[in-house]
Amino acid sequence: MSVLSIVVWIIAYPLIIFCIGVLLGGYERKFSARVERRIGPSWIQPFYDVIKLMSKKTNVSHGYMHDVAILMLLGGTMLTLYFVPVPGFSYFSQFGDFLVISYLLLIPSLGMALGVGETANPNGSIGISRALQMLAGYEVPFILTFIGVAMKEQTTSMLDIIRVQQAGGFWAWGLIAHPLLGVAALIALQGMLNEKPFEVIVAPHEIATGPMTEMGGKYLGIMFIQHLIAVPLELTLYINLFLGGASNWLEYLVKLFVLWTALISVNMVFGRFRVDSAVKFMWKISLPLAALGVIGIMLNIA
Amino acid sequence: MVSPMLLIAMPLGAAFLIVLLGSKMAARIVAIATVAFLAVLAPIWLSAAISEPFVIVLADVLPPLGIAFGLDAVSAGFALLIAVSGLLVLLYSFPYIPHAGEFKGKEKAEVRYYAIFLLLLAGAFGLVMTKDIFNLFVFFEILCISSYLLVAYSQEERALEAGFKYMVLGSIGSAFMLVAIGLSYRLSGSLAMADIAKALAAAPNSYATLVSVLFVLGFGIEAAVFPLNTWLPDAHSSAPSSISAVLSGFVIEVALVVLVRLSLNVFSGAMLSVLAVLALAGILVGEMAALGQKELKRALAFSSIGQVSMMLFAFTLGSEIGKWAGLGQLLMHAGAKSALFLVSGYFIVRTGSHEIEAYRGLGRKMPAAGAFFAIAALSLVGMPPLFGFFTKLRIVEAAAAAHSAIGYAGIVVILFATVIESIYLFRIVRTLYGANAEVAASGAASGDLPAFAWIAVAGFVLLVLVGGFMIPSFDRLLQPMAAVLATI
Amino acid sequence: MLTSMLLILPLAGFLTSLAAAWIVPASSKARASGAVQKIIAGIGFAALFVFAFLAKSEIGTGYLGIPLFGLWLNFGLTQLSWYFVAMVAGISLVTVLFSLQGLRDDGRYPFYYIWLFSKTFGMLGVLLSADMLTFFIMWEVMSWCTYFLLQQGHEKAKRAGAGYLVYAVTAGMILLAGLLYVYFNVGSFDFRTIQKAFSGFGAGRIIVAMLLVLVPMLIEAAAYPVHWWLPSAYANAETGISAYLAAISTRIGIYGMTMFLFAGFGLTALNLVTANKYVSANEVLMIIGAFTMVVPTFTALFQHDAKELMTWHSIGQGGYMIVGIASSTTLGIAGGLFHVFNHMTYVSLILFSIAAVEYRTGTTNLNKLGGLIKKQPVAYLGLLFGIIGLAGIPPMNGFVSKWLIYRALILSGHPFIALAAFIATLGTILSVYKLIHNMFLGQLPERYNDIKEVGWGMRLPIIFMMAVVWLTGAFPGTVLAVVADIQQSLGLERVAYSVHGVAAEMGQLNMLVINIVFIGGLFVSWLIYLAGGKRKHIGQYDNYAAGHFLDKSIPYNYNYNFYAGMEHIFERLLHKPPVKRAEQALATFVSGTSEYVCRIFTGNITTYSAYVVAAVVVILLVLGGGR
Repeated sequence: MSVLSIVVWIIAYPLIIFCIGVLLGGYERKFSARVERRIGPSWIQPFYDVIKLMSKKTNVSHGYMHDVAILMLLGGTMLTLYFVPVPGFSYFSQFGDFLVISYLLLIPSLGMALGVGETANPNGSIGISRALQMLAGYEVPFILTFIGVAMKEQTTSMLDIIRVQQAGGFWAWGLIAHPLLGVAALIALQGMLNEKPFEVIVAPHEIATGPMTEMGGKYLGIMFIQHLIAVPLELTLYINLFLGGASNWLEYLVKLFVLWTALISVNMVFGRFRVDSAVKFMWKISLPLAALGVIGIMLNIA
Repeated sequence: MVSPMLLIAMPLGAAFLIVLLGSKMAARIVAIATVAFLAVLAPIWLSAAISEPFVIVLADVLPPLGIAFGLDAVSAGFALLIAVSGLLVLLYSFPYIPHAGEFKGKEKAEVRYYAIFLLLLAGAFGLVMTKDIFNLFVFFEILCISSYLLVAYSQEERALEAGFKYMVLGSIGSAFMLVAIGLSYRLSGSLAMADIAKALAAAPNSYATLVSVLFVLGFGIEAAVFPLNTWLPDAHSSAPSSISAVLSGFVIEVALVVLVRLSLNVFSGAMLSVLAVLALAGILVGEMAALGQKELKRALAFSSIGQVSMMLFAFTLGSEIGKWAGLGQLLMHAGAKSALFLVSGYFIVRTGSHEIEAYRGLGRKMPAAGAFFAIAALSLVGMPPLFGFFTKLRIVEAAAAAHSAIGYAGIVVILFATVIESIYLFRIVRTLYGANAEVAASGAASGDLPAFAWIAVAGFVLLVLVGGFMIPSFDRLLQPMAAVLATI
Repeated sequence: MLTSMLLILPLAGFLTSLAAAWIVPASSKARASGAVQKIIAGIGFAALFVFAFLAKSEIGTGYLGIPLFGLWLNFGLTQLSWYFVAMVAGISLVTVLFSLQGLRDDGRYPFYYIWLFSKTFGMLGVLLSADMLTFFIMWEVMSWCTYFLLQQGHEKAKRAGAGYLVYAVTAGMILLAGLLYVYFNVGSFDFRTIQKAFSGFGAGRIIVAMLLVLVPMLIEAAAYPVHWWLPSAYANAETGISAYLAAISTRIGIYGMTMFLFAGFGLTALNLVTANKYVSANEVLMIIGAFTMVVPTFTALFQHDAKELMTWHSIGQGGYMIVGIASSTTLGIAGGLFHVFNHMTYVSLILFSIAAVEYRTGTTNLNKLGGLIKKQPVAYLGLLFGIIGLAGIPPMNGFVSKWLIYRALILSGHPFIALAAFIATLGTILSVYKLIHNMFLGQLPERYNDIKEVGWGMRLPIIFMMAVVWLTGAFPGTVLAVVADIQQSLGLERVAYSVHGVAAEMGQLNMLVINIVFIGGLFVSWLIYLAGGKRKHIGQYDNYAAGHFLDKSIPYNYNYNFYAGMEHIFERLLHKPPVKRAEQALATFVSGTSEYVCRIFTGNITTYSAYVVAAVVVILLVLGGGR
């Protein structure tokens, strides 16, 4: 890979992912509208939202940490993004494996948590408390599924895991080869994306949109941008681990939209768990599935 | 060189002199002069005895008929320990004894205190020096009777009761001993230990066993062998603290060493294993009981049971290193426990209470006393580089070297006992340094140790403080002692 | 010899400051006495630090034998011990510098520096010990010095210290048994002879020796389930001391474990203790480590006191070290050893920050603080850097060691131990957020309106430790170089490190790239941020309250029971922690036995006489019946 193409990719990569995020967001709203027999907003409505929020005149903040947090939120997400390989661009993957990615993912959460903390609004703090508890809920099974795959392939590198799946064709896909792990991770992914029934963080009717309570103007705008990048990013993680990655962008986009459709369909038909029930669900359903899968792999190796 | 008989004769003579003079001042001067003189001579005798044991013949009658004494490494070593401890405790007694008990005729009683104290020393000296078994009995009685009297010195109810119990049990022991002596005399026709040993070895086994058991258990009462030591907690905790220090510091130990020496050389070998089992039981019982005590001196008394049993265990291992370890532990314990008892005497004087809880915060009011107590306790538990660490190390090393079931059991018991010891001793130390507005404000604790008491305690503490560093020099003393212990 | 200075300096410091405390009159010139102590401590620990680094040249150059107590005490430096010596010297110096201002002269800690010297002496003694006997003697010295160090301050601290003493003496006694066992099996105290002899022994003897030697190490390292002494003991100590203790004192147990596993018994012996491919000595240790990671971390989640919360984490982090080292893989050992350093840096940083808050507010109660970010920004940043390190999030140093451990666990086929490590990390993230939120974020209580930042004497150590935590995160190779040398000296494979991470043949980690990309991401975000309108800072009462009006009389905060959901899930375990229950049952049993034994001494002379007669009869029967 030449230096020039790397530079181009570095600039283009977040933009492309952002565009995909906008489409996925628009698709979700369109999808839910159709289910509810509404017409729904435009396909690129999230983009309009961002523009609107960024151009607000009133931008209030509660202090410097509040300002910095919003930078950590977006900066951390972009940092994570670079380490996730997509078709054609995997330059940074050599500097960090999946373990690095899973920890980099925590930086935006931590940033947001700190900023929300400084807003001194209990609704925000409750939202963060719930977000962190959910984190403990979904991350445990998700990581275990990764451990299982990594142990099987004797590597923690995401590139290697993709390579193995692509070399083996459809039957080597994580979801097919280790169905228990794939399902467990899928449930965890639902929580990771904060979709129902695990949508306990924002919970507008309960805690006044939680972390976003004191966010407005460009602060909310940047949170939107982050969200639009984070959704495809997290979906990509799953695709790379369990759906064989993607060899070209078309395959990638198809997999993204299929996966996304599955997740938002579930989202449409469920209510919201209470936070401890959500965590328990993850630990009692998803985690044992993953554990069974891992035990299967251990026996296989041994 | 002056005859070592002075060790017995001088305290006896001085005791009578004190009673004749009848004045407190004179009593003090005579007592301290006597003991100081002996303490100066003792090292000279010791170095002589190590190279060549003295045999003392009284009235030109040779053994087996005569009254036989001898001064070998063991007896000379103990003479030194007794003399120095006695000297320090006498120093301590000067300021302390006027505080011990309120009763009629206290002035006179104090004179008697010094006289009986010297008798006690004479008994102890005699006990280690005697070579025949009847003299042993005589000095044993001198030692015991003076102990009974001193325990009851304060004439408080608990002291009198304790003295009485001590006396009853002591008498039972004497009776057993007397029977054993009679039986062995019938067998051997001699009172000399060497003859008895020969006779017993040749005698029918059951006869030897009977004699051994009666004698060892009779004597064991004074040596605080479990379960014959029941008198000890009462006596040691109710006696004046100077006397507790003496009783715990060397009286039980002297009896113990004589007992061990007899068991090793005279009586049937089975007694050693019996003693080993009793010693382990004694360690456990002593330490566990100490854990439950609320009174300081009672806790210390129970701790003495545990410690003495530990020495006994080391001796019963029979090996050279075991004897070394027992003697080392004995030396360390003489320093540490004497210091603890002496300091606690002033705790009682200052607060008027025996309860540990009453001493809360006293360590700040009496910094020297508190520091001495803590150091002595540390040595007892075994913190390096204090003396106690190394003696305990040797004991477990000896136990491991024995490669026997009782040895391994002993290691477990001793290690467990150390944990228990650290719990209760440092509970006390913590109480001493605890926060207590009452003690801090009240004048109850008016001052630290008086000068003489300070010197006495410092002397004992110095032993445990530098003992560890002086082990190479102690080796030169303890190794011959350990060797001699295996001979009659 | 420079190595001997490492022992002489703290001992001399101890004696001189003790003498100074004696000489300078306490009543009139209490402050003067404090100044003298501070000067001695400052000079002493600075010199110690210098000598610790100079002594690196003497690694492995032979032993320093001292005839003492009729024994030969042998001291010497190895790669492994130098690593710990340098850490002890470094963190002691930083702690002392922090304490110069952080310790108030209120007379509650008259012996602070004296015990600090003695404790440092004990630890260095253990580290420098070149044979097992010396190790045991210094181990005992160290335990007692720790006890004295803990016997300062208020009553609660002393009671907690008493709990430590019981564990420490028990550990010492078990170690003594181990010492004897090894000595009588090998005939020597020398580690090399021991290793040679052990490689020829059967599994049975190795297991006994390992149990007797490793259990004390695990007690000192506060591994589950023998950890209960630590939280109260450390949390009630003066905060500077807590930092020191949590940072390095507990880790001497890790040193001992590493030393005995790899230098004492040796890998050959270790590999003999393998029942089959599923159960081996390593695995048992790793399971202990896994419990040590998870249980204390989740206990920390529900603490209401900042220091107590941190001490639980200090236990939990020890679990990572145990797991890493016990994994016996190149990456795992490197991670475990590196984690000792990392933990030392961020845990002291966190506790310094807590101390700074305590210095101003007088409390560490998480339910009473809040919003202090506006008043103590340096302490806030210190805590922030520290918790990022503690949680193991890039770019701080804690991530690197954890990464090594995770990777080692996954690749060596221990998925559930690895999962435990992840769970513990998640628990850590939860509880450290609670820590920083309840102290620095949320609403500032009215009573703290006039609080100022602490002085430079406390600020500088915090800033310095922040730099260390970040820079060793960006350039982990600086420390990993030492770790690799240790591995080589122990006869293990060297970890393949690069200056800014782990080299490609052992994985992919480049912390410098992560730092640069992160900064780039922040920069781009900043540009986007600038693209928006001008921002305005508003006060904490200008806030959404569902139409209500807020003022200073209204507490508008969420900190009590911060993780109510989790508390709900762990309710049963929280209220009756099994280890605590077991400990209490044991204590009850011992005191009950003691009561029972006391009943032997009835005080009744008739009973006593009966004992004597019974003893005579029984013994006669036993001896007579023996034939």
